[in-house]
Order: sequence, then structure tokens, then C-alpha cells
Amino acid sequence: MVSEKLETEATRLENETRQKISSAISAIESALEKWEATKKKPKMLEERINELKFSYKLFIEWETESLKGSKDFDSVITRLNEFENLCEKINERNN
Amino acid sequence: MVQKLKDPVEEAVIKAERRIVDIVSQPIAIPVARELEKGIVIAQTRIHEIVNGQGKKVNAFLENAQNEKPGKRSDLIEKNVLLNQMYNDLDGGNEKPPTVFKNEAEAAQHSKEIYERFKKEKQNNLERALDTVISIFSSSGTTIKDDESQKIHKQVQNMLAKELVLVPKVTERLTSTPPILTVETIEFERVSDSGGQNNIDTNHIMIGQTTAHNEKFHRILHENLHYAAYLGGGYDYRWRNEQNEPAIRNNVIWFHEGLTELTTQDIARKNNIVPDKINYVTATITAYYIQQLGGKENTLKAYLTGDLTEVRSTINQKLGAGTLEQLLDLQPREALKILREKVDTAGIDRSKWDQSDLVQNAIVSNERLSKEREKSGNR
Ligand SMILES: [Zn+2]
Repeated sequence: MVSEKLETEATRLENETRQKISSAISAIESALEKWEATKKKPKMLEERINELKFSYKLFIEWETESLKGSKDFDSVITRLNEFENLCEKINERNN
Repeated sequence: MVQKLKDPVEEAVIKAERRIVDIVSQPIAIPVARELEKGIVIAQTRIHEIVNGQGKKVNAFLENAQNEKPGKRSDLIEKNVLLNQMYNDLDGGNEKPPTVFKNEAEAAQHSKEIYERFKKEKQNNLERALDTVISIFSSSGTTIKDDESQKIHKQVQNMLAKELVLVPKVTERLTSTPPILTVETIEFERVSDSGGQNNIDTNHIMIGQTTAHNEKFHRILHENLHYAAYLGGGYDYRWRNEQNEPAIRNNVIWFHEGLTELTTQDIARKNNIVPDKINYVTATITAYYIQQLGGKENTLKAYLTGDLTEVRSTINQKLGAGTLEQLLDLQPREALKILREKVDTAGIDRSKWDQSDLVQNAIVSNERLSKEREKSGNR
């Protein structure tokens, strides 16, 4: 049995996470847009752009799942766990 | 990507507007690479905040909820080093811009380069959505001589030396690298709402020509303030939370415009000049509320340095945790709506604010603006 408080808290946390991811997505999109619009692409920035694309893909996938997925407690917890893994993946690349 | 579902047409309009404001307020003189890098740094910061801040939070929650083995994520705390570094860098503001013009003639040459650049960009068709904007810049712009404006510019500089003493590093930097003003024949207000432009990373500010003395003063003061805030670090909003952890939210352009216009109106009125209109109406009213809640001095300091720590803490205490962060993630119209709701919920009486000269004028400005737009068929 899951306490009601825990359940609300999990949902709240997922929503908050989604909002933050959504605003990160906008920031990445704006960086990528600028990049695409530039004719001569500076080589030195390419690696960082690729890193952005890597995070971007993970964020979009998670966001889509979070928006469309089932809202029951177990699904929310699963997605929060996936979010943890996602953070780990991004961090591993930065090391 | 958007946070809330909206009418697709409104969505497109908002997006286009945002892009226009972005382009207009973005660095023009600096090399493309720097501009790109700025975008990358912003995105990286956001990612960093998620992976660390939010990651830690979710991790803690899951540990609690599921009673699992603790801490594969504890090493993430180390990652805050990077964010701290960035934060400290921003704290210094800008000693002076990377490109400094010595006089009006040099700045006028820079204007020419800007027109050329926009012309080229238009040819390259880089931003089809921005065609209308670009044509304003590329078609007929020239720099004109206007002694009256230059005189006002001097007067404004003297005024700011007194009005901004609260942040000495800003007044000092204004003295050692003063802004150079040029007057242009293009109509900035059709795209940027303020009748002028501050060319970031330079000390060159521009206004569109106008015959009205009052409006000249308004535009010149507004652009001077952008430049002052640039020197102080005011373009990079950041704060430390209750746990002293740093957060960075740069590029919230509407908020910066709102604070700029609010400060413009405040200083003008204090010096017995009442501007005929108010720009960026919604953003300015939002900034005004923030000022009433966060305190006049602290808000001015926050505007000039970008450091929102004190203002955020005061506002969140009054209106609930996370309020200021939430506002910064919204667009002005939504932000003002939420802010009003929160003020009312907190039982704070805002009727005095709404009856203030500033808010009343803002409402009138807004009505006039929408009528003008309707008439001219703009947008
Ligand atoms: Zn402005």
C-alpha cells in the first residue's frame, strides 16, 4: 500500500522534472538552431554540439514518455528511475 | 518545445516574437563563434542543473520511497564545482565590453557594419521567419547627426552617475568606458518595442530618430541602462538558494526588458521627466510587482548585477517556494497572471500598486499600442 502523500509527492516531482527538462530542451533547441543556421561551423564547437544532441535525444524521449505514459504510482516511479539513469548516462559522458 | 498546450496560432506568434526579440537583442558585433558558444553554455548550464540539482532531488526521493541502497549518485555533488565556477565568473560582470568604440564616428562605422551584416543574412536566407525584421535593418538605415540627442545622452550619463551609486562597480565602469550613442533612421520600435538597441559586447547604443524631446530622453535612458546592466552582470540572472547552491538563468530577455523599462521610468520621474509611454508593458508591470515585493534597492541591485539571491528569497518567502524560478521560466503574460494570483492568494493588497501612476500609464500605453497595430496592420 502506498501512502497518499508519497503518491502526490511523486507526481509533483515528476511534473517539476518535466518542466525543467522542457526548459532545457528549449535552451538546447535554441543553441542547435543557431548552429544549423551558421554556414561556417567552427570545428572547436562541434564536440560540444554533439554532447548537446546526446542530452537532447534523452530529454525528448523522457519527456514524451512522461507526457503520454500512464499516471499510476508505479509508472511514475519507473519514470523517475529512468530519469535517474538518464542523469547517469549524461554524467558518464562528461567524465 | 513548450510547457503548456496553447492555440497553435498563438504559439507560432509567440515563438516568432521571441525569436525576433532574441535576434534584436543579441550580440551583433562579436564573431559568430562567440554567439554560438553563448548558446551552448546556456544549454549546458541547463543540462547541468537538471543532471545535478534535479537528479539529486529525485535520487533522494527514490531512496526514501523505495528504501533501496543509497547513493550511487553522491558523486554528483562534485559536479557542482563546474556550476560554482561559472557562477563566480558571472559574478564579476563585465569590466568593459570586448569591443570598445572611442567616438561617434567609430560607432557610426559599426552601424554600417550591422546594416551590411543583416543584408547578407537576408541574402543567405538564414532566418526566413525574420524577413520583416531584417528588411527594416537592411533597407534604408543610416546614422544621422542629432546634437539634441547627444546633449540628452550627456545629461543621462550624469544622471546615472548619481542614480546608480548603489552599485559602485557599475558607475566606475560607466565612467571608464562610457557608452557611445548613435541616432539611426530605422524604426526599432517596430521590432524591439523600445525604440533603440543596445549592442551587447560593445559600448555602442542606438536609438531610432524621433522629433519628440521627451521620447528621445526615454529611449536614450533605456539604452544607457541596458549598457549599465551589461557592465554589472545584469544579463545573467543567477542566485544562490537556501542551501547556498548556485543556479543560473541567463537569457530571460523579457524580464531584463521589464526591469530596464521600470528603472527607466523610475529614474525619469525622479528627475521630473514623465515619459509619454511605457514600453514592454506586461514585462514592466511584472517587474514593478517584483520591485514592490522585493524592495526598491534590492531590485535595482539585482537588475544591475543579475544577482537575484535577495530578491528571490524575499519573494519566495512571501509568495511560496519556487515562485521566482517559476516566473522566469514563463513568458511575460503568463508570468504576470501567475504573479497576480499568488499575490492575491498570499493576501497581499495590490490595489495601491494597480492604481499607481506607472501601472495606470502602462495600461494606457498598451491600449494605444494595440490600436496602432490594428491600424497599421502590423503583425
Ligand atoms: Zn530594451
